[in-house]
Amino acid sequence: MSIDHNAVREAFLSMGLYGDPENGLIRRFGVLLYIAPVDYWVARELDFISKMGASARKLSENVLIDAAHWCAYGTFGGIMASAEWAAMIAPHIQTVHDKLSGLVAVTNCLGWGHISDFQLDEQNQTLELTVEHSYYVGYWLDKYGKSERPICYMWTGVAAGYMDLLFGNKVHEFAAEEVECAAVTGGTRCRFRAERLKKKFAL
Amino acid sequence: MKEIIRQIQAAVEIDPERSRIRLAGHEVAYHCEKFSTRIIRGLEDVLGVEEANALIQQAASESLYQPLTELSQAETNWANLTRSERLALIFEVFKILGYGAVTIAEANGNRTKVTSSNSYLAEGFFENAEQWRWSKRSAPFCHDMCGYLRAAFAVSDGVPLDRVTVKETTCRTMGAELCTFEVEVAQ
Repeated sequence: MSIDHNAVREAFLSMGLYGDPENGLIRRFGVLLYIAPVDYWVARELDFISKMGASARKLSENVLIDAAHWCAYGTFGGIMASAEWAAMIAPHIQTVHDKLSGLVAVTNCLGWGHISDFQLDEQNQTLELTVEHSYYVGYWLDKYGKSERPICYMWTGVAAGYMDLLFGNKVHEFAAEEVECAAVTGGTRCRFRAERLKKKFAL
Repeated sequence: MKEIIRQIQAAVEIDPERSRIRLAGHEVAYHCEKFSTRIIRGLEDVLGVEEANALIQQAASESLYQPLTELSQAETNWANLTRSERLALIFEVFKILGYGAVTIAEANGNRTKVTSSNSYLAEGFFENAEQWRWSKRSAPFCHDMCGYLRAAFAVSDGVPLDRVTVKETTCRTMGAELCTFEVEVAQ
């Protein structure tokens, strides 16, 4: 891996990512960042799922995954176009794998949990992403105990959004699913698989 | 006030193995405006604006109540501060967190009017409106700020969250010049 993840993290932290003292906004990496307790990020999604009830679970999960998918495409697209990316990461990119490694390095600075591994198959355009300590899991296990279903909606959207950025021309050319969730297993590891969306009626 | 702000900024701990961040002892995470605006629009589409506001406001207020309570306990002079001084301190914390700048426009007994020219979600809405073809809204959008203000006033006045109600009455996303939040603390 030619991207130095520790150096990216150090650089990220040294940027002092707090709101501007006058306007209270954090405009960095080409986006508008915002810090909130993990409880907020997770509760608003899980409370939504709970409110919708079991009969609408799939719909509500899709709403959350879709929002994260759009977010990942827009956010990481913005990050890759930013001055910070150009200075810290772009000089080290030679391959698609390096580009994804740079995205992973930045993602690992955001407090969402740790992407510990990724397997990118450029030929078949698939991605397997392993996340340790996803921020959903502790909250879920504390509140509800083990889950019967995967719950890391944001990460699912992120995995698909990465692939749209790397191989697609627009959002939603790829889709992802969580194939292992620590909220189900009671462990720490979640895994996600993304692949190109199969077109209906494709000849 | 500067001292406690400096302490908050210095109280960031990163766990590189877990890629998790703690700020003043509480786990926090960064997200960008694309995520929040998109997810909130999704919740509104499914639940309707009022129910989405209630859900988001509740999650936001509950998540910030304890950290702000601890802030009030850490500020040795808290008991001697006036209500507006307490709120000014909390609003500085809001700036650190990237929520935008908010100010007290009017205080009348247990009712207070708070305004913002750059509330985070409104800024986020405008940031993406053209790209995502969002037109002017017919309902307020700053649901999370309602929740954060609810926590701020509860801590400032030393009352439980359920004694505070917050309603956004004008929003920049609807064409207003400022976002306005009407806060009432039940006696």
